Amino acid sequence: MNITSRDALITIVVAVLIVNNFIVQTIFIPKITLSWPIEFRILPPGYRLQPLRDFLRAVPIAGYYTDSYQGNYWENPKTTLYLQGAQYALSPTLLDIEHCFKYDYVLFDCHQPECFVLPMKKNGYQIIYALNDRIVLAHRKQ
Amino acid sequence: MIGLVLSFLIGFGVLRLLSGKNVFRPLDFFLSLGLGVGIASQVMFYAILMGGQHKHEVLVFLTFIIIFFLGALFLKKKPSFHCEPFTPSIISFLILLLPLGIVQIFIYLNKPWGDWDAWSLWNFRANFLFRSLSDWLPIYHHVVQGKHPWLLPHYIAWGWFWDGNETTWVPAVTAFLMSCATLGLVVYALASSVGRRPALLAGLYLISIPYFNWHAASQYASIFLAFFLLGSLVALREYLKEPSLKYAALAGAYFAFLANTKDEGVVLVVLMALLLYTFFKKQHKDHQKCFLSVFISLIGMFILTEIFMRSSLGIPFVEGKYYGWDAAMIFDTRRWQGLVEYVWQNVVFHPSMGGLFFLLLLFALSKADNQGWPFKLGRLQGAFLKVIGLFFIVFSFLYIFVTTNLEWRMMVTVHRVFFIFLPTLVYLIFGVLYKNEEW
Repeated sequence: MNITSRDALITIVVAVLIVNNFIVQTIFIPKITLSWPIEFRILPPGYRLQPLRDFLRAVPIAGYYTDSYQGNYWENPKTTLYLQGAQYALSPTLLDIEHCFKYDYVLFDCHQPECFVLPMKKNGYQIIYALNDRIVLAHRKQ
Repeated sequence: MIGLVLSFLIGFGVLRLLSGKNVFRPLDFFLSLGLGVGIASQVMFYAILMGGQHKHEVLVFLTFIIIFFLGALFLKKKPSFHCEPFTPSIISFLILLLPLGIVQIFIYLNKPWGDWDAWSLWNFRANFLFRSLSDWLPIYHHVVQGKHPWLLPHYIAWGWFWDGNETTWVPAVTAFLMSCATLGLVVYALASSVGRRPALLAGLYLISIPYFNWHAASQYASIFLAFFLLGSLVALREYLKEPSLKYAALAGAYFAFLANTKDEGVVLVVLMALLLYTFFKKQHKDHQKCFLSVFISLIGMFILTEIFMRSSLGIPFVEGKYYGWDAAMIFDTRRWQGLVEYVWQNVVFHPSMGGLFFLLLLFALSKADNQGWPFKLGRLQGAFLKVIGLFFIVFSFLYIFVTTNLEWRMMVTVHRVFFIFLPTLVYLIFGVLYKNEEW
């Protein structure tokens, strides 16, 4: 192949790009892959809530309450992450964060200890299973 | 594994029957992978619709009916099993797969559940379909569900069903297979026009693009969209070379799958239907009849399914919650400036895009041997480039109308939109740079 030919020049340009790209890959891919905490990479999404799955197995939709929710689901990545993790773990039960006290069952997933006490009393719910002082499953009082 | 093998066999069987007595080409092998994925996903959807809580039994029944009919047609038509030699050889192709495999295994070992949207949207839907009994309908009303069609979740649910378990490797292997199929399409479709070496170089260049390699392994639907877009272009090109029902049907099916994969696919198909209609209208009448009938019937069928599903279940095409249809937003120069600056800094000049825009510049300025500048593009090549250009114009407006945080929106979605076009652009660029062939 003539080195000055058009095809040879294109091949050289592409080869340089390929070498450069593979060097970038060795930095870019590990950096971006390992940037998340190990808890969110290796463990199943919503693994904390898996013990609650048996209680909700026959419930089509339940409410989801969290103290970090401020009225806009998409604006707070932490709320989104926890809600979607819970949703994945408890599927096929759907979780509604916007109208959480509309349903008989409500899952309280708090960041502050015992944040569920007031809203639970106010809306007439009682604990049926407490995972710890932050995660509680409640049912509407009969 | 059974689900993946079954879907490939179904795709292979259908394509083999459509090939008739013709020789089976290496390219068809990769095309049948995508066809199998699309068919399997549709079968899963009908099994859920018909079966409710007995969906698994219905799925087995439907799959066996398909295999039975394929077997009966094989016995009747006796298609040829003679295959063209693989050029470039299988060994060169396997060597090419090595970097792709290493990266995808690394990502899988460190993120077995995939990236955020993989588990929270795509695999969550599959997980819901797999676990739920008769009450599968509420999922279509769920807060995160009012967007994107269901091809990928149905296919993952299909894989899990045949596997009997919700394993993390089904979505991971599916993503890897689709990446291999996309790479195979680029290499073997180019090999027939520009030759073995440039085709392998194009494949190597594609998998060297850091964002391509990384995002292909994320278990998102983007790799499916990228595959179906390139697959439809390759099928159309093959159809133009040698008009046959096989490639017309394949192009139609791929367009349909494109519309069933992501919202971006619906936009692409609408744009393509308009441009390709004008393109085929000027072709010979035989082309028109064969192509338009298959194209319109398949596209029509899938788009109608989509409209039916969305309208009957009350799911809007574009959620009002995230978009504000205010004319004043169009004249907000800061938003346009922000969008242009973001794309310029984070896509065009970003190392993760692997110098693709430099190659595009080379492509635009390239002076083909014995031809003047600018070289001429074929009408189909031109039509696809127009579709890509129009798509970006439509999408720019969607970004301008976003009511949530625009910076965040751009940060999480802009690269994905460009990802869809990477294999198609590499195919078009290398085809023109190495051989200025018009088609």
